[in-house]
Amino acid sequence: MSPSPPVPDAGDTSTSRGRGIRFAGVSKAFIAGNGARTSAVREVDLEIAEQQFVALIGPSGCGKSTLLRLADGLLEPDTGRIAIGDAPPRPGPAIGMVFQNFRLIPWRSVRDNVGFALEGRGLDGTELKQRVQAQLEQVGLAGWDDHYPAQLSGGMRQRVALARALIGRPGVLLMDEPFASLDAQTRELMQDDLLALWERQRPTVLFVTHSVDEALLLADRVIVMGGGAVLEDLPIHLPRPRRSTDARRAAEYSQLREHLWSRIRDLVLADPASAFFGRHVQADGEGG
Amino acid sequence: MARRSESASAPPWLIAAMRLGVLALLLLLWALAADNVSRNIIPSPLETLEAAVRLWADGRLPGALGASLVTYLGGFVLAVAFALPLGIVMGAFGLLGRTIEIYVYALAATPRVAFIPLIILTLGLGIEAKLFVVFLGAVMPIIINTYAGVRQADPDLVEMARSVGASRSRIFKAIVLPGAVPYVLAGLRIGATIGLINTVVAELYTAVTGLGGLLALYGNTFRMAEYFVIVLTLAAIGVVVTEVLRLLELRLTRWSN
Repeated sequence: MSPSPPVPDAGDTSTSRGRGIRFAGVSKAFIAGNGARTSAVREVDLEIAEQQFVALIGPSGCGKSTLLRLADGLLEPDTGRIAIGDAPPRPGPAIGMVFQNFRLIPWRSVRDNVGFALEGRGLDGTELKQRVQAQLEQVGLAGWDDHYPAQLSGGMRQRVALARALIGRPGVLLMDEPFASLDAQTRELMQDDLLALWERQRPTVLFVTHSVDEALLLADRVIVMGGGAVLEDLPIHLPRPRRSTDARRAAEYSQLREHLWSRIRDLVLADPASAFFGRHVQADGEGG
Repeated sequence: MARRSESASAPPWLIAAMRLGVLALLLLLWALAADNVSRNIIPSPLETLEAAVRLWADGRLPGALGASLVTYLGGFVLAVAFALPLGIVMGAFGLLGRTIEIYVYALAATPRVAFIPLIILTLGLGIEAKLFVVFLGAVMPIIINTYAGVRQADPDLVEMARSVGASRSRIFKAIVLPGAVPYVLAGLRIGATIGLINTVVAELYTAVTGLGGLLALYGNTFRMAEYFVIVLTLAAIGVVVTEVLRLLELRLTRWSN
């Protein structure tokens, strides 16, 4: 398939320089089984700078996961153009993708799960093994090569998935609610680790989340989506380096948080079909 | 899956002990039944054992066992060799699968014994006919399960594989086929069971040979101790084959511990 990047040193786990992502007039609709056409993404124009960390937030069904799949090249836009660097996206190890439900191959060891991303690309076995080992070390899983996913905790599984996404030294890292199914402590640890990794290597990150706090902790820029469109594009100027323990102390944080919350609440209330926050808000007596 | 909870809830030695206990209970019930029902109908365990020794020593049991195993395993291997590729191809090529699945299901729903007169007319009464009867019984569940296993590949894993740029053939080899293994093994187990039934059926309805032949002979002449030996031998074959398949499954699904 796509040619693998040159490999100077198997132990080198650095990502390629973060590449910019551009959406120009991108729309994508799905045809449901009953023939109904639903717009998932509508006329999105978005310019993401190299090495930027961008969070996509919005109620369920707002099109943020579709946008991520468009950026990975898993989906083709109906109209408009997408570019990673200067080329249209093509699925492959040069764009790393991390899913909420880990998506590890259960019958493969940790080593073979991570190596899967580079199989069939002409790397010889020893080299692949070395790269996998270095990558596992980087995500804090040295020595776990021979374990199977069923033997790992949720946090460790997501580290394996992260190693798989990183092993191709991607310039772009796409993350679809990667920490949503982890328990609260593990989530904070993973957030800090991701921040540390991003600060060191600076890939461009597009991070889908439901959590306002997560978006504010991680991102340079929070994009609020609703009904398939970009509704707000909010720069976050909280000082870096950030960590989950101290980021919330900044005075600006609570203002941003309040603002984003009210924005998303309005979105949910405007859309009775959205099931995400709706019930919760109504239980508070604020339902519309 | 059931195995996991079983081994998690009780230590293996306890399970083994309990099973031996049940075996002793069954033997006791058998002995009681033999004492209380006419001897001509239910032989005692001891009489059955003596009959078994006799049948083994005079070579009748080994001969019949050998003949039956050739029919059974031969027909089963043919069924696997035919059903696995067909099920995989049906699953891999959706249109083909959807086109012929209805005929496979129709054939699977037909009692295959109904074909025996036709089989005898075309293949005669010899080993070919017997092998075909076994084949016909075992082949359907293997096709259907393999087909279902390939079709039910995890769409999340397939999408993950696409996102790392894996080719269609790599996705098929690395994700779809291994994912179908548990289904295939279930199909093999059902096929093996039906294959054993059909072995006996074939030996009863075509040239009377093997364990099925002895079953008919001793059953019709009321030699119940010998008859019991044959029934127990058939049960033992069933147990050994399903146990082998279970060990194969354990080996192939080690990752799920």
